[in-house]
Amino acid sequence: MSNHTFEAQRLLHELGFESEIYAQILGPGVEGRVRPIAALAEYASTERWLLYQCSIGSPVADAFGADPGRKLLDYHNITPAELVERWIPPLGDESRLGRQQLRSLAPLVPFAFADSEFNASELRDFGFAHAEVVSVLIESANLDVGADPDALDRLELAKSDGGSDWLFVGQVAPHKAQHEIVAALACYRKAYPDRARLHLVGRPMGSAYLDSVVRFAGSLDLASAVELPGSVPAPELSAYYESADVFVCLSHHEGFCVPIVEAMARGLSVVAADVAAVPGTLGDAGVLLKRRDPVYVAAAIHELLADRATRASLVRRGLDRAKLFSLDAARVAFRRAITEAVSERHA
Amino acid sequence: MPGEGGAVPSVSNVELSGLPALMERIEVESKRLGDVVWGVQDEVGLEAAYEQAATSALRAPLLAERSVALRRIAKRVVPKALVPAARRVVGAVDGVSRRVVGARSARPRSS
Repeated sequence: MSNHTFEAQRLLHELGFESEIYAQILGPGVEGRVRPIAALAEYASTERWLLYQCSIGSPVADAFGADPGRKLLDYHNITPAELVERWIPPLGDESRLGRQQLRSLAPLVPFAFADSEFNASELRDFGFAHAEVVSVLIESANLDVGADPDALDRLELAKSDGGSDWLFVGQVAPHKAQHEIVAALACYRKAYPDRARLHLVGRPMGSAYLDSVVRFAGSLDLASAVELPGSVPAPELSAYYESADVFVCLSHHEGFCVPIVEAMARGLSVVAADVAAVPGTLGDAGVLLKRRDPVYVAAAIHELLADRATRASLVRRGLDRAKLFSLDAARVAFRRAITEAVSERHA
Repeated sequence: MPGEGGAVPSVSNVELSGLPALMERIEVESKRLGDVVWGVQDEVGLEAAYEQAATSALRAPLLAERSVALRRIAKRVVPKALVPAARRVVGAVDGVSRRVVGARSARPRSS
């Protein structure tokens, strides 16, 4: 259950709606805030509005489709099966199921939201008649919280040996391609005297891919240069953003990529592969890579770090662009979209 | 503020003249690296190293699962009184197989 969902509920309350959250899996810490999906039918009514937040195949989609209530859908993208099934076969099945479910839900949902134009375009391809972009309600704490001083000291101490710090934040998962950033680091360290370090922050999606990244880094003699601290508390995450020299994203698939916004908001320059929703999120506030081979990525990072003036301009653009995705801006867009969705035109 | 329909514009108002030149330098530098620093062999070696890491990582949980399953079966079929002797036999077989595998992997390989 994401903070986006709770923030959306808060905004619905502000708009005067009664709102309950239902979910298939009730994780820890949501007691009293989230109901099991089995309870959805208890209050079935043609007068009620349902807003389905979709990011994977789930029995929730079936319950949503079968309910007589009026329907809205909030799409946060489904990672294509072919990018994950080698590592977690059941996830590939869930991904395919999710895309099938979206196709069958399309005629039932007159109004859908997506957090990027890339996702909205996918919805239109699935057959949704109206798909509007409404930015993700980004947790402001991640952007505002100060850096953990101990973590910052540790990271700054490592800098005293020289070398740049590369950062990627996101689930350690095959479609995020952390191994390709490791490959680029290997090339970079061979090409330049800079003893660069790479920090891959994020919780692992299963153990096998994480294990492969660790083994790969080890086989390239980069074990001490590549850090995988897992998911870290917000103040520690701030320390990573603050001490990094460049944010590197070589994902094969992103439905939006919140960490790019976080990097821009913190004045960190961004180098990212030009795929999926990434160009829509980054805009022209960073270096969009047309190729992703290690040589090209290494050259891009080297040239960006060497060109202080352009880097400073990109950082200014990033700070400016991050405001477009601020929680306040997203709240306004969400309120407007909900108001329009439940108006007579779509009811 | 997002534009009409919530969509976010892709072009910033902040002026920036250096980006096209930067992109050109990246092209030139990547060509230089490809010519003098990072050849085809490096690329092939990198791919092989990753594939090996991936294969090992994917095999590890399978091996662990198989080991647990074998232990479960052994518990059912080996009488309790014979467990210590069976453990000794398994240990000995394991030791021999490790030595054989170790000797094989230490052998120089022809290129």
